[in-house]
Amino acid sequence: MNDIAIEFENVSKKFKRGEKFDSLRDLIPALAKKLRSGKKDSPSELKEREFWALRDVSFQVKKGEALGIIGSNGAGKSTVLKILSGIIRPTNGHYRINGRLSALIEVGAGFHPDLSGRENVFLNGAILGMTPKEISTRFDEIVDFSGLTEFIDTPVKRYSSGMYARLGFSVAIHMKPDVLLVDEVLSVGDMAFQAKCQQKMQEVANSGASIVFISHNLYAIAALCKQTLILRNGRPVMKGSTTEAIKVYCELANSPSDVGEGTRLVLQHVEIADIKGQPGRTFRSGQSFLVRLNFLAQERLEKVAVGLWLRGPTGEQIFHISTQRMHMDPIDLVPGQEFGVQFELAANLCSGSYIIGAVAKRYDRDVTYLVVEPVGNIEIVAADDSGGIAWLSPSCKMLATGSLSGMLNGTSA
Amino acid sequence: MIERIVQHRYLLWMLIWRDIRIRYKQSVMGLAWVFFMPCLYVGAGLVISRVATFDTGNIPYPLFMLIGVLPWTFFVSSLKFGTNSLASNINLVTKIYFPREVFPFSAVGACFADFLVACLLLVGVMVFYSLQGQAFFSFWVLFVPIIVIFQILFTAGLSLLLAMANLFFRDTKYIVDGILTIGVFATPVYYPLHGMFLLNPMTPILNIYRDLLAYGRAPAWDTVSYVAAISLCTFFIGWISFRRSEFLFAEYI
Repeated sequence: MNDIAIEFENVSKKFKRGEKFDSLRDLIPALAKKLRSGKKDSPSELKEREFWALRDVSFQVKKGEALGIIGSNGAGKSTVLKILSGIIRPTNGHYRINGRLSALIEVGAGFHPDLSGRENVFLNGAILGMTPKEISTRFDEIVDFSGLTEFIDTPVKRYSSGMYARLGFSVAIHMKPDVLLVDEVLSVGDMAFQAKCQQKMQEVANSGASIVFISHNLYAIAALCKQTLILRNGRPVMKGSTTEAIKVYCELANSPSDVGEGTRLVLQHVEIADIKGQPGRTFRSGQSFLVRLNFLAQERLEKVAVGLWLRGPTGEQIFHISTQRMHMDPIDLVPGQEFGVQFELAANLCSGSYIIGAVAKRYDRDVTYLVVEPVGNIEIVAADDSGGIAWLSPSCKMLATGSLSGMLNGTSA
Repeated sequence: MIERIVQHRYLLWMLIWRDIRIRYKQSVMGLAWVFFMPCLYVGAGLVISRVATFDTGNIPYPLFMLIGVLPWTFFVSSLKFGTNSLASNINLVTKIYFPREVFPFSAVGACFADFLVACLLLVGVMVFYSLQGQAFFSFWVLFVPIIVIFQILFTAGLSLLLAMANLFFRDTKYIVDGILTIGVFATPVYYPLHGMFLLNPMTPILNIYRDLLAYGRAPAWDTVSYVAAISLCTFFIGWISFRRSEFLFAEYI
């Protein structure tokens, strides 16, 4: 029993959309209304404008284990961390944490711009729960890791956002926590620092601490976590080995139901096929493929254009095109009218899984009718092993030493 | 409950230190700010004393007034900073967890540090009048710290309630500002007050300070018990309700 660091049992969290009462002026009439209707709140029912940010989520993390949590925006990942760190309380269910907790939810949240880096290290350390003795003994280590030795007596308001984040991360990671919560903080700082953070987190994990790691960067998740939990609209989809989870997560991306249907326009059907029209999702680098989108208008819509984009394995948008950008006339739709668009794309991509998203909008007034992401995903298999995203159709040959100087001479001539 | 604060005492110190440090950083007057508000009040009092006379017994009016002004400015600034303490630290409230009561407490703590420094003014004035034979130090001065503690408890309790209220309803701070501006007239800062004004807890507190410091006599013990009861109640009611609704702060911001 004692090797469990984090226990999360059937936790649900309800949130309310929209504004609460922000001033007494609004509250008093609302209270009067509530008194008259005399209704009581029930914790497991949804009232008007309420929604479940988390629903029956359970997991355990053992000591020394790292758990990754993945899911699209709004899936409830950050809510999990906020509950674990004690910032908000779950509506139902309960959780337990054994040991000292440090949360990298927003690095440097406690920094004060007018204070120097040195002063902020002590302040931030205190906010995270370190004792003055701990901070003093680790001070050099913290500054050293951040690489800000020269600027440590400069007020942090003069820091760049990267420097700010580096110092913040450095303080938090040197707390030597038993449980570390990390929420997508590695997206800050340059590549070198990101690698350093990644390595430091690995060290923390190796030293026996437990980690809960949230990221859209599937590679970072795979590097750190053996176990991964997928959340979707607040519900757990699966928990298992990270390799398995990433596969499931990419497959999930295939079902368009994931993103709600628009009220004005519905994406009825998506088809991904090779150039001959043969349905399939796996293509070779350089091969052309088709994406067909069929829409149904629910209302009268004017000047509809359709856009399409691709996201790479780490979530960044790598390509974006639309009928408008290709100089095709937008079309007007009447209720019940169907229409389809077919894009032909050349998969000049390296091996990996790519996610496709689509949008229908009116460009001249910047009105968005429908956004669906993902509409599907494709798997690319490169003929040769390569790295990166773009496939630049490489070919190579070995040159003899003699011909090398000849070639260079030739180009300079 | 107390245990939580003991556990986070270093954080409380750091936040008090931060508040003090920031207030005096990048300001031309620096430490002189501590004396600024009390001096404004004293200036106003000197104007008032030109047009009206008050029965202050055998106490010189500037001394009488200063004994009221210093605790009053401490009370006013504590409540102003205290009311704002949660709303101005939103990024911490929504991002990191620790006992949130350290925010109002540190606001009061930083103002208390100012108060202590400003008290040098009072010491100076008292020494001045003693040399002239118009004032004297009695052993009752030793009881001042006890009343200061009651005042701190009362102020901290109110700050907890107001900080919380201001988080849910942002117009609270305007109401507080308004009441504090008018409050000086319902409190014996410039003139002696008794009777129904004792309902304002700051009235008996200031009266007791004057008994101890200026008149050198024992305060009325029923007044002291009244002050003790009010401050302890305010403090614990404030703290308990703060603790109860603390988990809502991050959601309702």
